[in-house]
Amino acid sequence: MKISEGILLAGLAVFSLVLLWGSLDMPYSNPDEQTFGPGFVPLNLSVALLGLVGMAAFKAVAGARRAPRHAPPAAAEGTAGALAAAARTGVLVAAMGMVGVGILGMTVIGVLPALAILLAAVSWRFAGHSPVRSLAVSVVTVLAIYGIFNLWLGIPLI
Amino acid sequence: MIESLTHLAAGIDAILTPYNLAVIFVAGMIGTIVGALPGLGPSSGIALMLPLTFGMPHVSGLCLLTGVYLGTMYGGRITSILINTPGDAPAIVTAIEGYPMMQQGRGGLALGISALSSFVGGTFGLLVLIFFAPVVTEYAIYLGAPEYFMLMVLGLSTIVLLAGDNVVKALIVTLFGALVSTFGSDYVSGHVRFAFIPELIEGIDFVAIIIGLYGLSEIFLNIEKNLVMNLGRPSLRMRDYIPGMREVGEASAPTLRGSVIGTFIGILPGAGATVATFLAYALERKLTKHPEKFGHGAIAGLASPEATNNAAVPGALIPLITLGIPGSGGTAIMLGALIIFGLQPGPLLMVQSGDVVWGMIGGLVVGNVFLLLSNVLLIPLFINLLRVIQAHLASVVIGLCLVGAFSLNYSLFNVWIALVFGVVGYLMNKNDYPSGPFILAVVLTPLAENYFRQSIMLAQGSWSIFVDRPISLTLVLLMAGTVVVGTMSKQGLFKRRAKTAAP
Repeated sequence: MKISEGILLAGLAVFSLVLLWGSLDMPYSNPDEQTFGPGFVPLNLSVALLGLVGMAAFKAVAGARRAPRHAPPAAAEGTAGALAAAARTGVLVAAMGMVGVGILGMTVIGVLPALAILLAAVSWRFAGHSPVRSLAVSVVTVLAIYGIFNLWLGIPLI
Repeated sequence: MIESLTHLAAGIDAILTPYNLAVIFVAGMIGTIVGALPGLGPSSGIALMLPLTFGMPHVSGLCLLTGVYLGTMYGGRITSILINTPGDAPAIVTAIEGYPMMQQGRGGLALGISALSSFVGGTFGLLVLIFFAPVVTEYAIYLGAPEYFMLMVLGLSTIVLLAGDNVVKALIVTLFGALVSTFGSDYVSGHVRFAFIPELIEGIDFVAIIIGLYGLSEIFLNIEKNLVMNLGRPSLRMRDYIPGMREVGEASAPTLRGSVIGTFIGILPGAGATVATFLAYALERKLTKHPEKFGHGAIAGLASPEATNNAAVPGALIPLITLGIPGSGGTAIMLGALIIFGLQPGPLLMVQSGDVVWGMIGGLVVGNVFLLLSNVLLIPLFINLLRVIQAHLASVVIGLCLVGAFSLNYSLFNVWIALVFGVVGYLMNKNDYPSGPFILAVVLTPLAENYFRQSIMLAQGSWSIFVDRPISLTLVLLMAGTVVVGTMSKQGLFKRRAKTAAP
């Protein structure tokens, strides 16, 4: 099982456990109206999801155990490949974090200013453009967004 | 039929003034742009234009609103195809096939085929609206809660066909989507579920989910792989954008099938257009001789849902005009517009205000033609604009996605939702968990649950209501058939692959 799949399945397991716990406090049925209550669907579905996640995890682990035990020792390319993959993952996590910080910034300095900084940072650090070009791209993009969403559609972005 | 043609001729005559033609054209353009923007769909477009109709003649006002409605359906496909960011649920399936075509350098072709299919779908829906509206509505009123529930479950059963090779993964994401949809107020009892923070009282907005799942996750994937688009230099050769006879031939039968599905399922209130697009896509996947092409730019998989979601527009207008029942969010706002204009929505609308209604229908016919011409002629503009900004696509898409999510209800909560589902979408994509079943479950589960509990209440606790009614029983059998046939064909496919792989 890939690490990313493990994270996804673990997240789904926690999600369904939380919802299962929450749905225990909701009425399962409504005898007065002779129908099911608001707890019916989340309780049943969260149990089913937990079961399927467990099945998927079991299949992945069982599949890994059945894989050939006599694999050749890791070559130099394998180590370099693993390092490159780790670097790419680091870049990705940084990108996600940067977007998160940008959204946090929107609560402090407003949507458009924070967006302008975020877009410039994304263009500079992840698209490989020069700082000047990144700034120009950010300004043009934000101005276009301001014109369409704020001026024309009346959505308050500042 | 002659009477309908006479009325239609009178309606078209009423809108053939320079003022009304300008209103229809501008409405279509505005609708196209609004539909193309992530986070804004038909309901937003109609709501934005509604104040402009005050003081307009009634026919002109209705032409403005219906023109915007139709335009948003044309526009939704643009961002779906070009940047994998559908603006609303009916455009999701367009992204599944259209975006891979874009990545293969066939984005102009995808836009051309989708424009033609949209036109055919809209035309078919209009023909049904013009000639058969009262007849269709007469049968549609026999559908009750049990039938609607079975229809939603039929839609969910197409997950088997959308599942690809791994049904367990499809079921996992389906259940995940269904659970996500349970947040917020329960339709039947009013009980608030899982409101861990106040913003969750209203549930999780599925448009914010779509923006994250498709738009942001694609950007994260591209950043991880360090992918830079290379669409070539801007070009104005129309040959690159107009589908050839071979492509038109490949798209024609799916387009016609999609038109039928979109019109008749679009009539049903609720998630008519969304269910219809997924059913149309699943049907094409079932019928095709090349299922391996689906998910990688199959023309049939693009043409049919595009015809479906445009055919659903006149379809949704049928119950509005004949019964006063809106068939979608956009038509719900139009119902409000009818009341503001002093018209009486309901069975007598076409009798008491027939000239206004037929003028609106005439406006739709003319608007559909305008939209086809303008969208085909604008394809080079869209593609070349993308070519100009391709080196900066990450910034542009992130900007549009975040602002689109914010514009849903001017709340940063939806922006966070888009980011969370951007991460979820990245993880799903990386591990081949299909997104179609997830979003289908998000949209259909609340409706299915609502109709299910209503049905059990009607039957006073008995489950036999689903098989006692003939239409519901038919849908049960259809659903069972879909699941069985889908599962058997997958098993047959696996066995054939195993035989081929064996030494």
